[in-house]
Amino acid sequence: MKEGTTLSIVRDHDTKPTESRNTRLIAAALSSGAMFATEAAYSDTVEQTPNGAKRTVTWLMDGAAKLSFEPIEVAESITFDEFRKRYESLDWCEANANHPIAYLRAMNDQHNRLLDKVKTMRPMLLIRKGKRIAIVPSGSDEASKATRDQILSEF
Amino acid sequence: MRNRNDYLATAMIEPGERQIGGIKLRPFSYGSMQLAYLFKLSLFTGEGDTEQTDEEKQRQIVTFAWMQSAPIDEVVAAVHDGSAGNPRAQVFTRHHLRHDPRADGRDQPHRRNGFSLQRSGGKQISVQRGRRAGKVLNPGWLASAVYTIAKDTGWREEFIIWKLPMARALQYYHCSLQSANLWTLEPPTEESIQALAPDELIGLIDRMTDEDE
Repeated sequence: MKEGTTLSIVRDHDTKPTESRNTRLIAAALSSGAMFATEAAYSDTVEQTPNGAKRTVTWLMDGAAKLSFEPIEVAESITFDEFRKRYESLDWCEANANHPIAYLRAMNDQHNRLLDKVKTMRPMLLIRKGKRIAIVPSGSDEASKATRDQILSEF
Repeated sequence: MRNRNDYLATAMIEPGERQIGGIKLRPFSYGSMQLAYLFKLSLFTGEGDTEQTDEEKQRQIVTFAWMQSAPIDEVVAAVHDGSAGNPRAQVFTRHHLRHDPRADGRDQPHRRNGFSLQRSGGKQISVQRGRRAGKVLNPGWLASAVYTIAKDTGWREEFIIWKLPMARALQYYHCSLQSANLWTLEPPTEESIQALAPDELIGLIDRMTDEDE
């Protein structure tokens, strides 16, 4: 993340990212030209609190990036079959990138890609100690455990 | 059971010299530890994990008793001239422990050579390597500790190295580090890591992941 980056934080608690409306929001925004604020724009953490485990999913978006929308040339009325033909044609969507149907298709594809990625990412463990915070791997496998122990031994 | 505070307090009142079997031994000091490294006394430095033979254990114990009781000048001279105490140690044992390591008549080259010093040739090579690699070269551990203590206390080098019992010197070294805002943290234990990252929470995350899939 560059210094001076304007952050827009999208966050929700105790909702699975695969079911979260925020994931759809991010997919829609990316399809409309929004950008992540950083390469590590997604975090999924679980923290032990007095009220039990708390899961927090956060997306960091570039708050300064502009999303531009251009109107389609003419208003039109189309049948379902025409809608389906356009929606299922990637070539048509790319050729008509400003058309609402292209946005819908892009959002759907983007959402699927996000879900595929999110499903491969195990939540991290967030640990607070005074004012310090550690985010460590939460896996039960040996490698994760070794990394976790190493970080926590210096925490 | 004694806790850390008990050990620290006991160390602070530990006497300097000790009389054992009619032999006056200097306190185990930083200098003793340095000699133990030079004489390869792994029983005292804790280096090496191989089981020692009885002969090797005997060599180390005899050498230790000699280096802690012979005049410091003599011990240091033995280090420098490479004879490093073996004949003297034998004299010491004959006179003081009534045991001659060569009494069985066998030639024991490993004993003769056991005290030979690792001269600085190897270290010089590593220094040159370090320069080429741009590594930071640190002073020896003893110089570092003595410098740190002397800087804060003004005590003489000889006193810190040879007369100050190591159990106390280590505490003063710790004080110096702490006064320079260098803190020593309690080593983590299985329990302390468990408290931060309990298995139940890891198990809960396992279940979350399963549900997500």
